[in-house]
Formats: sequence, C-alpha cells, structure tokens
Amino acid sequence: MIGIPETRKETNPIVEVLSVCKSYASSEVIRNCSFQIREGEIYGLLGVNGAGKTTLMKLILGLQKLNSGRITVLGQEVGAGWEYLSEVGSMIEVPVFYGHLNAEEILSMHLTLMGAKANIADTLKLVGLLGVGGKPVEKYSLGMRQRLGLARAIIHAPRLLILDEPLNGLDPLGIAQMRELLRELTAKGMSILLSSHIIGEIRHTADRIGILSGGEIVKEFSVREKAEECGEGFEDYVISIMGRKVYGSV
Amino acid sequence: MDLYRLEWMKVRPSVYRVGALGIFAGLLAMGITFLIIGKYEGGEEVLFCSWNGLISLIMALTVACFGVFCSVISAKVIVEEYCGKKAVTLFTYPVSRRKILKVKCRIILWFTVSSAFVSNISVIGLMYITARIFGLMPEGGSWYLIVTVVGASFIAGILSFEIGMAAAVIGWKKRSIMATVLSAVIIMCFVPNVIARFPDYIFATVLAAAVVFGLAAKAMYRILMDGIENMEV
Repeated sequence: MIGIPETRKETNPIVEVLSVCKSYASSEVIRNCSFQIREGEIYGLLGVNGAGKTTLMKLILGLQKLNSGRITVLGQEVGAGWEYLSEVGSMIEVPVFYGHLNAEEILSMHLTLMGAKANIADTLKLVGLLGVGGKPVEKYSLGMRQRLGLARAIIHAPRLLILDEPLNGLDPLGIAQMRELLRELTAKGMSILLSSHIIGEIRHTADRIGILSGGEIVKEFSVREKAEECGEGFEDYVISIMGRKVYGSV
Repeated sequence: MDLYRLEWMKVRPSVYRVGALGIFAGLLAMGITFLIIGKYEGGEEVLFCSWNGLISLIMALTVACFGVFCSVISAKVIVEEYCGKKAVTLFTYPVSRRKILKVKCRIILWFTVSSAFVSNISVIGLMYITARIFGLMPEGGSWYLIVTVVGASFIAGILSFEIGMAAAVIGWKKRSIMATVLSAVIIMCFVPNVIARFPDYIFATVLAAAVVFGLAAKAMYRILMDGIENMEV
C-alpha cells in the first residue's frame, strides 16, 4: 500500500529555476517562474491543462529557449552546453519510438547516445516489460510504450528524472508499480520532476508540490504537511489554488 | 561513438534497397525498350539511335528517379525526424545537433550515390550486352564512352543527392513530407530535360548541373544546419 510520502530533509538543489519567462508570439506562457528541486526528492508540478507544465520541462531540458531568467541543472546553466543532459532522463508528452525496432535495440541505442552502460534486461524487468524485449515497438500498447519510455528515461541511471504525465495510459496496477518504482529511484538518490493535472496522482507520489497557474508557481508546499493540515479538504484546497488565476475564484 | 551505426538502425534499409532495385528494374526495362524502338522505328535524328543519345536519356532518367528517391529518404530521415515528436527525444541527448545532422546527410549521400551509380552502370552495361547479343545497335562502345559513363554515373548520383537535399530543406521549412517529395518532382521536371538536351556532352552537362545544384544545396544545407541548431521543440 502506498501512502503519502514523508517529506525529505533539505538537501542541495539539483535544479534551480530563477525568474524564468517564456512567451510565444504575443502570449506569455511562463512568467517570472522560480522554484528548486532538491536532491533525492520528487517534485510534483501540478496545473490545469495549458498551465505551462510541459513548456517548463522543455525549458529545463534546453528544448526551448528562455526569454529571460536562468535555469541551472546539476550546476550547469541551461543553454551553455549539452553536457548535463547525460545525467538527465526524460519522458516528455507521449514517448515516441522507431516502430520497427524492439525494446532492446531502442535501449541499446539510447545507452550509446548517452555514453552509458547498463543491463537492459534488468531495466525491462524493472518496468514490467521483461519477455517482450524482442517484439517490434509498433506492436506495443499505449501502456507498454509508456513503460518503455520510462525504461529509456532511467536506464542510464540519471541524477535527474523529468517525467511529463508519466501515468497516462497505465492500468491501475501499472500506476501502483510506477509509484513504487519512483520511490525506489529516489531512495537511490535520484531527483524527480513530475507533472500532472491529476491531484491524486501527484499527492500519492510527490514529496513537494508546486502549483503552476497562469504561467507561474503560485503555491509550493510539502505534501505531508499540507495533507495533515487539510485532512479531507486537501483536494479542494489544491483545486482552489489551481483555478484561481485561470478561472478567478473557484 | 558509432553514430553512423545508430542512424542506420533508425531507417529500414531493406525498404530503400527494394526501392532502388525497383528503380533499376524500371530503368532497365525502359533502356531495352529504347533499344528496340531505335532498331525498328528510329532514324538518324532520333535520340535513342546512338549510344550517346541512349546514355544521356538513361542518365536523365536516373537523375530524375534517384533525385526523387533521395527526397523520399530525406523526408523520412530529416523532415519526419526534426518536424515530428521524435525531435523531443533526439534533442535530449548530449550530442551536438550539427554532428547528428551531418551523419544523417552522409548516410543519405552514401545510399543515394551508391545506388544511383550501381544502377546506372548496370543498366547501361546490360543494355550494351543486349544490343550486342541481338544486334540492336550497329556501333560498338569505345573506351572513351566507358569512362564517360562511369564518371557521369558517379556525378549523376551526386546530382541526385543535391536535388534530394534541396527538396528536404524546402520540406523542413514547410514542415511537410509531401512538400519534400513534391519539390523534388518539380525540380525533376527541369533537370533531366537539360541533361537529355546535350547527348554529345554528357559528362560536361551532368557536371555543370552538379556544380550549380551543389552550390544551391550547400547554401540550403547551411540554412537547415542553423535552423536545427536553434530549433525549439
């Protein structure tokens, strides 16, 4: 049974996002956004659809350029080089693969590009894909692709894991296994940035939550402390903050 | 790091091998048809009544077919990869974007040039053997013609690649696979006509076209390289 995780003690920041702004044409997607992810914690980014969660993750990965502000990942400033990416694992949106390749080939390709070595069978076992490693990915279900996406993100033992709505397409058992796996990974020292628009999903997985609304982090709190404080009203509390900037008072 | 092997893994080489084989078979069928037409229907003024005419015609068709073939490979390897969701994964690797693009282009170059070269040499060689066996062509080939065919076939392969790359850049700008292939087809309406127009100067014509398109393709390649380097996904 997976309960509310205990808040971890304060450690060094792995990711520092400082006054970041990002806009497309005339619309400002991220405005003056700041937060930190500490070593070994699961930081949950919660927000309604279109709040800017994916954009923020892409900014951290250097997939998009900042208009202003600064992001530091593992001590390296984003935009100043690609080196830090070898210590970052990510799964943004729906994972995409080369359909004619099988899971083993995809992971082997990934390891080569990351310049790392790992046991592919062990990783496939960890995500529940052992035994299907030789099957072409085009024959996989959505849930299996999601598991393979996670395998690709973790196989090179990154220090930071960035997961954009990772539980999409998973069955209830898969969701439980995924949560358990994320806990195991943080126990080994990995830091995780996780996004979702589903409160229950984040509540049962994250140590700290940052609520992204209208392009900025409007509230940040420890899950355990807030759950103890709000009790049954936790979800209502979060909803009221999530929608405040978008819909006015909820 | 063996980037070439990895990029090669991403494409399905067997599909393109079958495609190249199909083009070869089509060109051979046309070449032999031209020989037969030349024998029974042609006069002095008909293009396929001399080896020069036949070779320039086959060369023009080779450039046309392999140029479009190259645009199809480029559409898959470059346009689809950088304009689709795969770019998100590709750009999260600690490898220079320029380096990966260079590897992709070199693979396309190698595949296009080798298949166009082998196909053209084989088609003309088999046409020559057929003509000798069945007496379809009175004159024989000279060493000069053989050297011309070998050299021009190689240049024709490069020209096909240049056309395919130019089309790929247009397709990338438009973010469309269809635009890539259509651009190649439109370019092909013009280039083969120029090649077939000067049958007595095959090598010079193919070389001139390769130089002109080479310069254009290089300029467009720079646009592609800079664009991908600064691309946001």
